[in-house]
Amino acid sequence: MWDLLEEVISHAKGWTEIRYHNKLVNSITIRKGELEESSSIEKKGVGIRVLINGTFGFSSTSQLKKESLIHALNEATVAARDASVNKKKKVKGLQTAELASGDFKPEVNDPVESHSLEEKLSLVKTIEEQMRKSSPIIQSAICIYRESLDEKFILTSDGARAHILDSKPEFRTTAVAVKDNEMQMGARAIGVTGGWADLFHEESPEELADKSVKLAIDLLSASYPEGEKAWVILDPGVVGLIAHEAIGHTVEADWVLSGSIVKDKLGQFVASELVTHVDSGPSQIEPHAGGVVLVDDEGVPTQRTVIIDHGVLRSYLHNRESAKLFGVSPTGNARAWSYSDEPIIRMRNTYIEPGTSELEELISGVKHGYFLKGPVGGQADANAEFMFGVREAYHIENGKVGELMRGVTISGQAFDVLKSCDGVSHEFKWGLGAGYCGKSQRAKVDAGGPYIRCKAIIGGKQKG
Amino acid sequence: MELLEICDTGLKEAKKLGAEETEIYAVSSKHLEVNIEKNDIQLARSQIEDGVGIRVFKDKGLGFASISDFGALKQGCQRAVELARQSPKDPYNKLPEPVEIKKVPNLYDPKSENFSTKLALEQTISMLETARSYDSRITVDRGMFQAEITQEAIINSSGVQVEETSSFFVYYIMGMAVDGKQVSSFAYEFDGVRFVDEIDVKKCANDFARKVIDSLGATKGESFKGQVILSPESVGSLVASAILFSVNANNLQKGMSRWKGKLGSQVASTSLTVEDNGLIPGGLGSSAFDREGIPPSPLTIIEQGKLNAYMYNTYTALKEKRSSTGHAAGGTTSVPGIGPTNFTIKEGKTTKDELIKGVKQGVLVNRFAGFPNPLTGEFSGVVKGGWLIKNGTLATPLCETLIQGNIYDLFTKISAISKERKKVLSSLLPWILIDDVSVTAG
Repeated sequence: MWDLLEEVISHAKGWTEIRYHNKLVNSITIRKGELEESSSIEKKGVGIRVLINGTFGFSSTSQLKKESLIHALNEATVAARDASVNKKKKVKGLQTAELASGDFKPEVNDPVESHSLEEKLSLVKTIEEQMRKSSPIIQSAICIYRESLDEKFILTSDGARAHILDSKPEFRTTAVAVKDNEMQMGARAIGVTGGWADLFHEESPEELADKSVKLAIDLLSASYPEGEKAWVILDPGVVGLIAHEAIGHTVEADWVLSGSIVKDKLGQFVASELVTHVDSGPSQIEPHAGGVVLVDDEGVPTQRTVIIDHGVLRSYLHNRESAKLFGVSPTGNARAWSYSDEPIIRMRNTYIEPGTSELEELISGVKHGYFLKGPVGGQADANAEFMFGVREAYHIENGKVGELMRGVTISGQAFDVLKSCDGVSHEFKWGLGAGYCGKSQRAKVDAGGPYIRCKAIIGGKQKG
Repeated sequence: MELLEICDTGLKEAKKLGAEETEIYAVSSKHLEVNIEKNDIQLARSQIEDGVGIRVFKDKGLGFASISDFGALKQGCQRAVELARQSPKDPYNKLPEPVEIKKVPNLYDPKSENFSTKLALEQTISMLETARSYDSRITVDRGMFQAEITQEAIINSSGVQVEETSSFFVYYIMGMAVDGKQVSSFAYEFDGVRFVDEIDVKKCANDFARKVIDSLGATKGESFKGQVILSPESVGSLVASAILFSVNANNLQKGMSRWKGKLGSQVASTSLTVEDNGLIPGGLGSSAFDREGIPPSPLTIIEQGKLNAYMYNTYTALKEKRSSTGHAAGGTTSVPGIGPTNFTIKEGKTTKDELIKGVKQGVLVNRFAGFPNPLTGEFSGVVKGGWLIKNGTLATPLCETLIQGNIYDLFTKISAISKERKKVLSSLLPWILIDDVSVTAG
C-alpha cells in the first residue's frame, strides 16, 4: 500500500494528505427469534486532501487503481483552485507538529477475530431468547453484536507516515414489555476499543439482558415526573453526555471560531471549581474507552487535553489549521469517519475527572430532586443549551432514592449547570462506549465521569 | 463495466459458490460538494463511490455482504455465502419474482452531467451572501451545496432486472444570529430538487435568516398544559416518524408496534389523512422500483383518522401470504428494510394564521429537539425557535422550553391542520394544532 500512496503523492503540487481507509463492519441482529442481519460490510477507498492557495480541496474514490487515485488527486487540486477564487479568509497554514510515523494499534485482549461466527451467532441467539423467555410480559427482544475493524495508512507531504489498526466491538440488548395496551422498552449497550474480553469486562451479556428486561417491566408501572427545575444527581453516563454534547462541542475550535458561547473565555471561570473536564485520545483512568484514537486523521499523535481545569477554561480542541490560527499545538482532534470524509474537529473520549465525595453523601444532601441514570441521546446548541433523554430517573425525597419515573428529559445551559455543581464523587466509569457522535459525519466516541450533583430542568407532565 | 453486467457477474459468482438465491444491488455515484463554515467557503470536494450489496440464501439461511470496490466482487460473494451457510433456516427467506415496472418521469436531469465545481461554488456563494445580506447579525455556522448523479441496478436469481439513473441537488444552511451578548437559537433550512433549474438557494437562505433573526430576544415562557402548533419540520420529527414506525410490517410482526390488528380502527382525529406515493414524477422519494426491484404501491396509510395500510417488503409480505407493497428500503450496506417513499399529510381547512388566531395560550414549535420514542410514543424535548402564543398572536420567542406527551394519545387530539404545506425533502407536511401537551418553562 505504501508504494502506491507514495507514487501518487509524488504527483502532488503543494501540501497533500493521502489516506487509505478500510472499514470492515460485521454485524449480527436477532429480533424476536429471527435473524434479521448477518452481514459483513467493507468500505474501502482513498481520500485525498490538498491545500492550494490557502484553500482545501478534497476528493475520494473507492476505485483503488493508480490511475483512479491520480485522477482523484487532480480533482482535489481543481476543487481547491476553483474554491480559492471565492474563499475570503485563506488558511494561514497548518501548525507544525511531531507527526506520527510507524505502526499503531490499541491494546486488545482476546481479539474478536479469534472468535468464530458460530460462537457470536450463538451468543446473540441465546441472549435474545433469554430476554424473551424471562417473563410472559416481554413481547419482543433485540440483541445486536457489531464489530468495527479498521485499517488506515496516512501519508502527508510533510512527514506523517502512519499505519493504524483499530478494533471496536459493541453489544446491545433491548427488551419490550407490554401490559394492558401499554408498551415500554428497556435497553443496554456497551462498546469498547479492544477485544472480546474487554467488551464483557464490566458486565456479562446475561447481566445486560437481565437489566434490559427489568427496566422494561419496571417502566410499565412508572409515573411521569412533574416538569421543574430541580437538584439532580447524574450518573457517569449522563455526566459523560454533558461533557461531550453540551460542553465538548462548544470548545471544538471550529465552533469557537463561528462564535460559540466560550469564544474569548480562555482563562475565565466557566464551571464550579470542582469540575475538571478533559478530552483524551488514549483511554484515561479506566482502560478500553470506546473512542480511543492513537493518531488522528491528519497524522497527529493524540494526547490528553485538559479543557476546563478546576473550573477555568484552559483549551479548545484543535486540528492543525485551527492550532495555527490560535498559535497552539494541535490536540489530535482531526477525525474522518471513512475514506470519503475529510478530517474535521471531533472529540474522542470526553469526561469529567473524579472528585472526593461519596455517592451516598451526594444523595443524602438532596431534599427534593432526581437521580438520573443512563443517557439515551442528546443535542446541544453553540450557546450550550442542551437537551438529553435519560433512561432511568428516580425521585429523591429527603435524601432517599425513591420511585422510578418515565420519559424524562433534562435540559439547561451546560455552563450554568456545571457552575451549580456542588459535589463530585470519586467513582469513574466510561458510559458512552456504544455511542456515535454526528457532526456532518459520524465518529465513534466515548464519554464518562463520576457522579455529580447539580441543578437542571426536568421535562415532565404539567397538571391540567 | 456497466452496472447490470456487474450484477450479472456477481449472480453467477454466488451461484458457483453454492448460493441458492442471490440478489445483487449495485450503485455507482458521482458527487460534487461545496461546504460553508464560519461565513466562508470551507472546502470543495468531489467523490466517486461504488457499492454492491450482495444478499444470498443457502438452505434458507441469510448471508449479506457489501463491498465498495467492484474489483472485490468475488470476495464479497464468498463472504455472503459463508455467512449464509452458518445462518439458521428461515422459511420466509425468498427473493421476489419480477413485477412489471414503469419509468417514473423527471428523476434525472441531463444537465446535471455538466454541473461543475464552479457552478456548485456559485450556488453556495449565492446562498451564503443572501443570508448574510439579510441582516448583519447573522452568522452562518455551516452550509452545504451538493450535486449528485446516481446509477443503480438490481438483478436477482428469480429474474428481477432493473436499473435507474437519477440526479439530486441538496443544500442546507445553518447558524444563528448574534446581537451583543445575545445569541439566538440555532436554526437551519434545507431543500432538495432533481433539476438544475429548480435550485433556489436564495429562498432557502432567506427562510433561514428570518428564522434566526425572529428568535433573537427569546425569553423563558410559562409552564402549562395546553395547545401547541407543530411546524412541518416538527411534524416530521414527531408525527411522521411515529406513523412510519408503527406501519412498518417488521415492527408489527415483531410485536413492537402499537397498531397491530388496528387496520380499520380510528387511530387519529378525522382531520388526519396520510399517504405515501413513490411514483410521483420528480419526487425526491420517487423511484420506479424499491430496494428489491419491486414498484412502490401508492398507499393511503391513514384515511380521516382510520388506519388503512401497512408497509411491506418481500420478507414481511410472505409471512402474511400477501404481496410486497414495494417499500423495501436501504442502501448497498444493509439487508433491505422497510421505509417510506414520498410521505404526505393531506392539507387541512384552516390557514396557518387562523390556527394561531384560535390559540389563547400555546406554543408554536418550529423545531423539536428531542428523542421521541416511536415504540412507546413518549416524547420529551426542547422547543427550538419556538414562540409563545397569547390570545391568538405570536407574543414572544421562547428559549429553554420543553414539551412532553405521548404522540399516540395526541393523534386523537389533533384539532386542526393547516391549508399550507411545506416540502421537507421527500415529505409534504402541514402545520398541526394539538391539544393537551405539557409545556415546561426552564
